Amino acid sequence: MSIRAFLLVGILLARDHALAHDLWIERAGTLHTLAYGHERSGHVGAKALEYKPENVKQAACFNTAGQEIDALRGHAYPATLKGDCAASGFLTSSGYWSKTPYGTKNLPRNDAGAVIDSWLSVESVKRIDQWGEGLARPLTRELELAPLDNPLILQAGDKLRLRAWFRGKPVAGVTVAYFGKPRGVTDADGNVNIRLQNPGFQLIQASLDLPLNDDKADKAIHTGGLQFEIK
Amino acid sequence: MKALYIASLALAATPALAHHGVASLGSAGLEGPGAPVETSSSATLPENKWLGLVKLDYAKFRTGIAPAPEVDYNQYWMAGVGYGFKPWLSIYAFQPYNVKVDQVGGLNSHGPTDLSLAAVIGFKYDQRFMLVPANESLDDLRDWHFTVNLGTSLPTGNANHRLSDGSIDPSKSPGFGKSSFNYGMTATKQFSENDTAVFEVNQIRFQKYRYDDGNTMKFGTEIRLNAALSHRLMTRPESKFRLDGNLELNYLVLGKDSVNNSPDDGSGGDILYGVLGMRLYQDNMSVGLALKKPVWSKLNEPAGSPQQGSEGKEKYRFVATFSAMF
Repeated sequence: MSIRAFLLVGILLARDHALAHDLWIERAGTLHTLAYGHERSGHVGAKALEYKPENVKQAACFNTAGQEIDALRGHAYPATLKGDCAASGFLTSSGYWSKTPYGTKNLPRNDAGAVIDSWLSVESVKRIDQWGEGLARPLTRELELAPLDNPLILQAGDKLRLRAWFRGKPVAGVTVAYFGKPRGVTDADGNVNIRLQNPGFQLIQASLDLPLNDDKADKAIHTGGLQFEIK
Repeated sequence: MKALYIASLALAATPALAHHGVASLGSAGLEGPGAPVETSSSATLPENKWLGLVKLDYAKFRTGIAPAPEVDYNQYWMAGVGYGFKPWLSIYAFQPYNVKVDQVGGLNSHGPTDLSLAAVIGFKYDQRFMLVPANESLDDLRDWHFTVNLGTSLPTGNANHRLSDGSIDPSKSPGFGKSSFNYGMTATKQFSENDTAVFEVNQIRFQKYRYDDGNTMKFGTEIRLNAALSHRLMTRPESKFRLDGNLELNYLVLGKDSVNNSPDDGSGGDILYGVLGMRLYQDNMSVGLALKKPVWSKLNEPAGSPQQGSEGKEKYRFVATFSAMF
């Protein structure tokens, strides 16, 4: 079939680099802990990577109506959030990165010398533990995947129907991966469907490149993760 | 003569079922559903995309059987172009060119045959039936997909082509004189990461035509029931290369011809072909290769006048397709 699939895979292959590391949230009771690495995906690499706690820009706890509620935030590594969250989320940014002939540096383009490519990294992740209609809408203005319906009642083999949001609006052209493997690109309405393959932990990631109009980087790479569990 | 009538059915199949040559539809999906070589898959072209294709169906006939087919080999060439008007609507035009070579002492013919047009409407089932959307994820591509195909030929070929002895043999004429019509359906399901099943049913109907020599001919209706399995053997994403193996069964029901308003009892029959093929994908191109052999046949052969038809009496058919998207 399909040439459509070919075109799609071409896009997906080109975007794979943007999904090279994973953010996810480990939960123990009401304690939500931000983790980083490859433990939860098919990517090759260290299971856990340490991050700078100052890279964590936001952490928030939401009820089923999608309203932010009080939670206790831990600012040291690893970043934590303690509260009765229907959904929890973290926003991180490791800042500017520049690819040079001598390696990739955590510097803006104007400080990195000869630069081949440069970008601003903005990463977020959202975990859903209880469902409410309010969670079908974006909870932040960052790149975010929101299920159109309750994902917690799905089973392995079911399709998860998602909409990607950015700055509060549906966004097209977002690459969406399932456990690190790109599966599709959002349509004009921001929608994409992903089939859940196994029970248990689910991790879906979105990635969007946007050009930057400054001298620090060529573009901003926004990634947004969605995680939940099914039986 | 009867043999040549039958041979002409094969000739008819190419232009009238020209979308068979689009079986791949340039299908270069690295992870999407596979596409057999002979059985049409349920793919449609992306909106505003063009597809170019070339197909060769080389039929070599058996010798040493009684009665022997008069034909030695046929080459059915076809060039085509398709355009995706909508994600669910593709339109194709095909120009066949046939070469028909008889055994020693026979009469040969070659030339461009009737131009054909085909429309393919694609739909799928995802909680409900719907037209194929513009955007599908790899998981959406695993849904059941279907197409409805409608096509017709235009009598652009020379139906009254005179052979070297001055005669007109309808089975060797590069045209049918009047339009033929075909319609059918396909169903495709990628049921695992590497495996795809494809089903097709199709019918071609012909019209009666009076030739310049005063004789009339109405070729028998053709029905095709095809089933295929495609298995992804190899994928190299870095070079956008994919290799599939295909196994197909093509069941062909040929109706009796009508010559001067009388049924030709020595024409038509049922034939089951086995097809073993492969398809390679590279970038926006696809190449399909297949070997096709009749594995069972029940031809209409009245007592004392066995059918001398050629279809069903092939030694083998070799099918090659090339298609590219642009």
